[in-house]
Amino acid sequence: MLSSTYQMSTDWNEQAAAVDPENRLWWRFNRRRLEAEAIRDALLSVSGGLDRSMGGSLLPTPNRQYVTSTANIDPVNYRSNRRSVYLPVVRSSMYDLFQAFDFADPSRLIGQRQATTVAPQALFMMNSQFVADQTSRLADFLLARQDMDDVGRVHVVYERALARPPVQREVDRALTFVKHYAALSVAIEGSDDQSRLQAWQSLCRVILSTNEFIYLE
Amino acid sequence: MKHACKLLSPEWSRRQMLENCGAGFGSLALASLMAQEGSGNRLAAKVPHFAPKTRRVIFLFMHGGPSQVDTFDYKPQLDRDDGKPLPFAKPRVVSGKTGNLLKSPWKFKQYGQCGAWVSQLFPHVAGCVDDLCIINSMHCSNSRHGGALLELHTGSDTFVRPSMGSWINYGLGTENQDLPGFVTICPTLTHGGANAYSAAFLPADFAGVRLGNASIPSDQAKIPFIENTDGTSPRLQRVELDLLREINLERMAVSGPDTVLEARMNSFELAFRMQAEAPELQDISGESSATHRLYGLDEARTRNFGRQCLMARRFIERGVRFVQCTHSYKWDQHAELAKSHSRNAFEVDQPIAALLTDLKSRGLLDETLVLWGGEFGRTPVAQGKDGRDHNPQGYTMWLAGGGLRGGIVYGKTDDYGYYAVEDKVHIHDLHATILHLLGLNHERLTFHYAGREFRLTDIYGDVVHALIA
Repeated sequence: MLSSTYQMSTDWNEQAAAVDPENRLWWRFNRRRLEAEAIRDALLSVSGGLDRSMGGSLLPTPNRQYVTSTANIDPVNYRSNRRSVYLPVVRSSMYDLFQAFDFADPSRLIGQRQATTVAPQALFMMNSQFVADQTSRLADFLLARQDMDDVGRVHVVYERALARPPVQREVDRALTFVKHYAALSVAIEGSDDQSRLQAWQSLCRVILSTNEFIYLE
Repeated sequence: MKHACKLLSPEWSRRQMLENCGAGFGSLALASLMAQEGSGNRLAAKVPHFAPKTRRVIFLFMHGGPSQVDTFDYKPQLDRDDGKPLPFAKPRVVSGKTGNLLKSPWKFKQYGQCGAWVSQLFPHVAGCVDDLCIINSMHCSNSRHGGALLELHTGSDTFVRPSMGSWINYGLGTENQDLPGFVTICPTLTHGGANAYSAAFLPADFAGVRLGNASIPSDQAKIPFIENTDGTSPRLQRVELDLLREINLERMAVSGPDTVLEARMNSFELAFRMQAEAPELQDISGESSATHRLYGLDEARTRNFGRQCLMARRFIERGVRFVQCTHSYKWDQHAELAKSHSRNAFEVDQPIAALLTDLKSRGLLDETLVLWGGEFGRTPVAQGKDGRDHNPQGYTMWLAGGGLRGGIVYGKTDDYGYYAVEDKVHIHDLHATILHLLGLNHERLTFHYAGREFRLTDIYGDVVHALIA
């Protein structure tokens, strides 16, 4: 990890890519997708919902009771905001978030996890309750901040999610999007109550769905 | 061969991929190829090893182990010798303690042109015997549910290996890019649970996509995350995805071309199409009332499995490669055989016959393989006064559909139905035969893992050519 090769960035170099498109000679660090646990923790952390308390078990059943049972019941409740490392791993009934993002089969010795890119992962970002909860928490937080304007709010989203400030073009685009989305939402649903909140929630979902968020550069 | 294996491996490099696609680096051709596939090329339909006899599979899994001597393996001598001791040795390894011979509580009759014997438990399926290929000489290696269930699904009762649905998708790819290639409806949570449909060491996108599980009714079983939880309209979602695409494209202009990033962008487009197709797929209200009645959806006891069977037909129609329906952990009658086997058979008999009839009338049975059975059978000797123990030594499974000889009964057990004795078919042989029907040579369908090539059939398996038309 201390070698200069390991510490290289993922930056693109057209000349190097032409000679060694597969990066066999390590002219840059390969881009890595976050693992299932990191995706979940990052989403919780960005939304401000991550519960960092330590220790204890989230499995509600006594030792051995569940894993040896032959009843078709699924007692594990994954709706917790604790860090992913505390979530139960039940071999016969995997957490669907983990399963969607290539969590290693807990019954196998797996030297290296897959990092697949499949449509169910996109569906998870678009439709899951988990992502809806996180983006709605973040949007609530943004709109509750009376001390800042919308430009400031865009800055908060970018800094929290992508660890960098937005450039001017990104700020403009985000603000245009929020306006357009809210107006369209009013036109479709006919009510103005939630449209601004929904628009901000939507913007948060977009930023959290970007490649930049989910890939480690 | 070596080259072919490499092509299928997940380590398929970008250079190899470009060579094989006949496109230059970063070319538009590649971009449009990726646009069709959420995960690169892996799930695309592939050319099988030889001309297939069938294209898709529906597996009707009777979890618990239905009794062969009470369903499809008629044993008049068991009737005559009821209550007497078994005149030969029981297996060295058994699941539990058993007593003397126990006759079947049900009458058998011959059905169809072929004259196959079927018990009173399956009057509807009996009407389809001329389409069935009944194997009475199945045997497997494990007398406990967990091991036998995994062996049936993966070929191994000891280690977690890819499920047959995963192998088949790995070998053939999917015919419908908008839907998963391997779907399992209400799978059981016990006896290995997810291991029955896991991809194990195969790339994770070949794993079965689970709709619900055995603890919920099948009308609540949906493709994961397919429905928008907060009710955002598709139009608004479209606006959102357009912004996402714009941001991703802009970023890629800086970070350099990358097929993985492109694939991820396109996975959102695929997801959007899937989501548009799914409600129609999962909503069965458009089916005629005759179809509802046919599958038994108008009757409480048959509704649950009937809906699974109807969903299976709808998935198959849309090109899903492998669909499993599970009648979960009901068939394990260590006691109360008469009462519980009657209930179980009632719940599945009409739906199964409906599926066969429906597939046939739509011309789908010719290209669909239907497989029925449990993880093992049951002993002809009694457990307690009215139960039967597990029996992996000899039992029945049946196949129907494309490429098979319909209306045949293959293999025999002994006079009491305990051991398979003639034309024995091991689970490995069944797997080899299923792959063969799909145009795959079970010895050539391999995946390199942990230093060697792996197969669904390990080092075993003979194709049972006598079953094939």
